[in-house]
Formats: sequence, C-alpha cells, structure tokens
Amino acid sequence: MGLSLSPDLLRRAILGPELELRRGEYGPRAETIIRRGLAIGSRIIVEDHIASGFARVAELIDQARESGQSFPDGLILFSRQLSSGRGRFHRAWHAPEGGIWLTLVIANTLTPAAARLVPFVIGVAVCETVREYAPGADLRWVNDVILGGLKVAGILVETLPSGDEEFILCGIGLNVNNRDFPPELSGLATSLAQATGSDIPLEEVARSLIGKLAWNIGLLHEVDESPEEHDEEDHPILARWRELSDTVGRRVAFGHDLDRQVMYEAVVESLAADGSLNLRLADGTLVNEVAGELRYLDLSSAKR
Amino acid sequence: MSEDIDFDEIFANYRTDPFDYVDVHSLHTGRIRFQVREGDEVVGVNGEWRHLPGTPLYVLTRERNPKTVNSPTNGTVSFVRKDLEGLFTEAGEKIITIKHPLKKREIIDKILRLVLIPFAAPERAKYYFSPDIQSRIDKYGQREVMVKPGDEIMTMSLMKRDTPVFYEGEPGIIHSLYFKPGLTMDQGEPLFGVCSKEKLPYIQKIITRVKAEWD
Repeated sequence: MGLSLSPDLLRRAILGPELELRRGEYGPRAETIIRRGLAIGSRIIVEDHIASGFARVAELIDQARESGQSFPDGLILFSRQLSSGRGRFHRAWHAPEGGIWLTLVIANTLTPAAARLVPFVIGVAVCETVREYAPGADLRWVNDVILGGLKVAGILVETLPSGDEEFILCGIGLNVNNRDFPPELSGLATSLAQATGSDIPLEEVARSLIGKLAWNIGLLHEVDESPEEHDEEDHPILARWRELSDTVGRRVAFGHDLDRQVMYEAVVESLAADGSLNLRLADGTLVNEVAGELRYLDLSSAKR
Repeated sequence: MSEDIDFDEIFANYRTDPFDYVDVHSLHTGRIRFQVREGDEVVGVNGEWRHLPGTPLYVLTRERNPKTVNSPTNGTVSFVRKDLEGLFTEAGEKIITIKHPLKKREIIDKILRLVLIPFAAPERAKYYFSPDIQSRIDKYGQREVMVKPGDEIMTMSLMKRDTPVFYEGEPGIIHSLYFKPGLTMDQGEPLFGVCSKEKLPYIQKIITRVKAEWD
C-alpha cells in the first residue's frame, strides 16, 4: 500500500472535483469558500510507522518554535500505521496498515464560537467521505461516524498551545481496507472494505477526505469572517451535520466517559444552535449537554 | 489580605441573616415573560450529575426565538420586576432576586472564598484534572498538591474538543474543590480554591470556628 500525496495533487483535487460538487449548492460563492480552506494539505508528511500522530506533530511544532519558524497551518501528517494510537480518555486506537491515520494541524485564528465547531467540521468531512463509498453512514453526536451500527471512523480534537500561538490538532482514524480488529473491538468497529466488500485505493479516499476538509474548514472561516451573511441560529456546518446525523430522536445512554459510567438515559430532542445537545428525560425534563458521549439504546432511528 | 477581613462581623451577619440573595439578570435583550411570582419556592440545578435544570424563572424572546432561563439556586423568590412583564428588556437588567437559605457547608464555602484564590471555569464545559495533577492527587491527596502559574492543571472538554487549562494565580495548594469530573460547569463558576501552604492553619481555624458557631 502506498500513499503518494503531494500538495499540488491535493490542490487540484480541492479546486477540481470538490469545487464542482459544491457549486451545485453554493453557486459562484463556492470558489470563495473553498479557497478559504486551501491551506489544508498545503504541507504533507507521510510516515511509515510512528507511535502517535499527536506526539509527532507536537515535536514538530516545538522544533519550529525553537528554530524561530512559523508552523504551517493545514499541515497533515499521515502514517501508514500507528503503534500507540489513542482516542479520548487514552483509549487505545487500533491503527494497522490499510486505514487512513492522519493528524491535521489548524493554526487557531478562529473566534471562540467558530473554534467550538471544529469537531463538527471534521465529523462532517469524514462522514461525507465515507458516504461516497457507503451511503448508509451517519454521524453520532459529536463526530463518531457510524456505519451499520459500527464505528468506521474515530476523531480526536485537542488544543495545543505553543508560545503565543494555539493549534487545533485533529486526529482522524478511518478504517478503510483494514478488516481485522482485536477481540475488544469485535462488534464495535467496521471498515469501508468490510462494509462494501471490496478494497478501495487509499489515495483516492485520502484525496476525497482532504477536499471535504478544505471545503468545510473554508465554510467555517467564511461564516466566521462574514457572520452578517449567515443565519446565526442555523450555522451551515450544523445544518449539514443535521443532514448527516441520525442522533436526533434516538434513545441514548449519556455519560462523560461511557466506558466508566452511564449518567442517564434520555431521548435526543434537538441539536442547539451552538452545537450542544438537548435531551429529554423520561420525566419530561429537558437537559442541555455541551460535552459527553452517547450510546444508542434503540435499534433504529426515528428518522428512518 | 485575608488577615484584614473582619470575621467577627461576617459571622455576626450570617447569624442574623443566614441567607444569600441571588440576583438574576436578564440574559440578553428580548421580551420577557416571568414564570414565577414573589413568594414562590424554586429549586436550582440538581440531580446526581447536576444535569437537571432549575425551576423556570422567565422566558426571554428575541427574534421569535424563546429562551427559558432557569433558577441557579433553591430558595424563595423575594423580588420580581413585575413592571417589565411582557415588555422589552435590556441585557444585564436585574429582574429577579432569590433568597437562598445557607447551610453550614455553604457558609464555610462562602467564608473560605474570601481567603482562597478561586480558579474560575473559562467556558461552560466539563472539566477534569490533567493526568499529572490527578496522579499527584491520587498519590499524595489533594491538599498536598502544589500548583504554580503555568502548570497545566485541567482539561476542558467542550464539544468533544479537549483543551488544556493552565493555572494562573498565586502558587499554593488545592484546598477546596467545587467541581466533579463529568459535571457541566458554567462559565465563571469557581472550579477550585487555592491557598498558600502557610495559610492552611489559618484556614483550618476558620473552618473550626464556623463549625463550632453553627453547631
């Protein structure tokens, strides 16, 4: 398996197929929006085997700062495999050859209101990519990508302050052609190859993903810089998230760290204008949550 | 600074009037509809996970978008700006006061907040200690853990994005905790209070005195 991706190639993918796709909905404005996201993939590093993408990127950011250089916004570090990949709460992330394991570095020039939507932006981009191959994929709040009830992609977003700057590190793990999972992930994870029954060229998936990241990050910047042109109660990123998600209407278990404790069960009522989740308890009380995890308790979505 | 506080006067005040008067201000501009009247009993945020909202106090409607605001605490509604009912109100206007009966633990907390350095939540989010601080707390106990400016002390979890929070303030030990991991804390709410090690005996004296006075 090879990953031959150059910034030029990616730029052509972004301004070619991805832009064409978006013109249908956004018309001539699509080009302005996508150009705001052109920094994504402006520098690419491909490693064979590293321990953790975040740790490696943090080293690179430190090195840049120590040598007085600015760190490139939009840098993407790919690794063909990770030996110590992790998710939230230091959960192990299984990342053998065959998947897309990348860390995207965003220099945080966003307002706080926009920055809080970055996890949604990444989730939307990954889900849009997965849907190109497996149309049944859905987003589970905030950004788990679920395919046939199993997790096909995991996303980790962390803030990394560095000197006077702040970076947002976005880790994306997308199971593409890897088919074997350790016993603890049995019945929990799947891959595109498993779902579709055939292998998919990794470069093709990576190009699509980066195009969608560029578009959605461009859209985030566009709304952030021209808020008067957009409906503050219906951010286009969250509107798109609603289209891609089946979370609203589901009966769920909610918790801060579900591996450790379920806090309560509820039915998801709506996604609020700030991205938080409104949940209805059995006694009718409406609860608003800004962070946490969900597990679906029902088998099918109310949407379907 | 804390040695200048007249604790005798504070104790006397709490003894004669053991209540907190919590003023509620309008959240933003909008047309207001009150949901409570003077004399009504209200409850604050509650539930095992502090996830249950308090009694609805008022509904503020802006651009056909109604927002219900809930009581931050329990007690009795002692004041309502009835003259504003159905009218447009400015942001930050004092509209309701809740008379909240103080428990002994709350009085201790309120007095300690005069002497401890509070560390406030930067945003409405969930918080937990950074792994390093948590392992030191687990090993030595919370009041043995020193913090100093620049220490990565907490992780703020908001919309599945984790952000390190750095301690700013005087060096000291983590004396009082006002949060639990997994609970949503409002912006500006204190997460913990810090005091210098040499002030610990002084603080212990205050706690002992409050406990004795209220027994």
